Amino acid sequence: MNPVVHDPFATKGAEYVVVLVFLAVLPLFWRYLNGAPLLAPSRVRAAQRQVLSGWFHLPEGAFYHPGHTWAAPAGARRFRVGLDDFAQKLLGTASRISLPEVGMRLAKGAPAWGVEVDGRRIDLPAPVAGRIVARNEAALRDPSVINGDPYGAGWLLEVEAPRFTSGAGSLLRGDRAKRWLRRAEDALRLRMSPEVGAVLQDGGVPVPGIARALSEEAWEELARELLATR
Amino acid sequence: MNQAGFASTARAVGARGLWRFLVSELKPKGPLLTAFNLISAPIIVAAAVILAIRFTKGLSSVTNLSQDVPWGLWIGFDVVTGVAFAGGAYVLTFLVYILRQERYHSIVRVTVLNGFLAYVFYAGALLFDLGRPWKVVNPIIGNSFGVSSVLFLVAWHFMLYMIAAFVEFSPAVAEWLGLRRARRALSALTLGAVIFGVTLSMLHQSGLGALYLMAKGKIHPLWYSEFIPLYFFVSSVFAGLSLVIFEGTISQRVFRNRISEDHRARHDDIVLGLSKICAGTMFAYVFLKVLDIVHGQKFGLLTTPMGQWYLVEMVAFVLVPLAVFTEAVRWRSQTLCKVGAALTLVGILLNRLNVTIIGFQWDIPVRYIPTVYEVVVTLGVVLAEIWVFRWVIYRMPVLSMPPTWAMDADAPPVAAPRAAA
Repeated sequence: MNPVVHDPFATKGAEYVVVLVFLAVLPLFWRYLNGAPLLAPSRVRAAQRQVLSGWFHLPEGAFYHPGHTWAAPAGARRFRVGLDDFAQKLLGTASRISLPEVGMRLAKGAPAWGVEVDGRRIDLPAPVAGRIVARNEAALRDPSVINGDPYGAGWLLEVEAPRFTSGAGSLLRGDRAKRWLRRAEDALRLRMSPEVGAVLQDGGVPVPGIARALSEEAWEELARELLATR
Repeated sequence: MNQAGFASTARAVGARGLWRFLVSELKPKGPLLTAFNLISAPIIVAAAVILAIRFTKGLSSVTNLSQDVPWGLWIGFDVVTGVAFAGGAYVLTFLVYILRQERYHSIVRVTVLNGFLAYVFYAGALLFDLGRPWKVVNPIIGNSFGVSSVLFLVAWHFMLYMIAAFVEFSPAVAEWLGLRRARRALSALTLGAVIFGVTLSMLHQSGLGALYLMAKGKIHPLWYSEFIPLYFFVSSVFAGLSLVIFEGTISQRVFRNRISEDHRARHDDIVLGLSKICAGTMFAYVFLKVLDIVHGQKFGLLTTPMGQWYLVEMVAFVLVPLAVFTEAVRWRSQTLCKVGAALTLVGILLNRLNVTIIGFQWDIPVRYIPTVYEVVVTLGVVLAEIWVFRWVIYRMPVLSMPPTWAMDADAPPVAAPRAAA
């Protein structure tokens, strides 16, 4: 069979259009691919009901910083951040929290907000880098919401993190997060003394303010050590 | 016998120790009567019998090949599709050793092993189709090199790539045998072998497409294009990575006791990273295919029955998996990644068969349909490769961590504290 021979120049204009469309759509496609909701808020909420670690809640949809803060997707390139269940149970009910202003930039791993308990302040690290777009005013007014729902109503900041993907590698998720939290639990267990009683060791529910229960005088030091903020 | 045990035995009794070790390693490590073994063993035996008939009585005794269709399923599936599926090895080694994307390091060995075995078995299946298979060495030894033929290029590339892939994998063999000095020497060759291997792969993935350039007029115009080499190369990237995702999913279950903690912990992130690369390359591939339709003025052909078949391939097995991969990355969904990989593998199989069989001589009165013998041999080749793959996984540190001495050798030197003056 003889294939039909076409004039190779007849379609040049259309080919240029295809190439231009490709070049125009490529950045949009790449942006769409990377600027993701990552996990639907509904799925994050559903996952929050799961207790994945022995004593502490560890929602599956969130990313965890080793300094016991979390980041969960809250729309395209936006994340809500807060402190994890381990941190809130270790510190107990805060008398006051200090949050940076909207518009300020967070550096990943740098102290981002402070939690005041008994007049002593513990700073916790930002899990992601980015610009603050919202603060949880309800948590500012009543810090106890953090203890009630650390991954939901107890969120602290909403951050726009356009470069999140490249920084996600050092955050913990899934099985890695579970193993990390288990190690944190082990470290806590080592610190336990008999006067804490049966609450934790015997499979009970951890009491709020574990650090103070363990050491009334040096709880601040202990908390910093267990939260790896020193 | 463990590795350290063999190393000491080998020093003591030399070749006899090695022989005993290898014989002991040939024994099965798990139960023999598994469902997979019971199904695959008879197929492999049947394939061996059919091949014995093929080599004694000729191609026509077991195949439907003819002068019109001299290349059938054994070339179209085993060689052309199998080599595309093996593309993950060169992409992964490029990512890890050249671009230093260390997060993929834990799957390099298993991917290179897969690639190497794919070449040995699937490219080896080329021999079944050669009328005089003993002449396969001619392009290598110079008994009429045939430098003007694309097959010359393919023959050299296959041979050199198999050597390069084996060199890349060889430190695992040395670790299995406990040969420390050999491992040191072989590890030093890795980067060179990777550069060589990546170059060869890019050339012969496209070279396989170039083979079909000379069949202009025999391949349906929707699949024939002067850009076939480019299409084969670009599609080998997502074909190979999809197989890595697919194989990784199966390995995570089948070899769960052999998989290192490091490998398991990184698996989800690795799958998402590979899915993103698949989405990116598929996106470019779609535009390249559109360019071909525009350049060749083939729009009219799309309404014909073959055109609709072409659209099935492009829409259901390129555009749909592209969308699935994209959403998988956005939602960080492992399930969607696996669905995307499975659809892509079917799409690549379809594409290669469309070029080599379905769209090849599509207008002749008597179409080629492979015999059941050809199908059994093809299945036998795939299953035999899986048997060897499994044998290696259960013996060599591929998914598991290397022995401590090998990891110590790779660890960066620790600065010794200076003694006080």
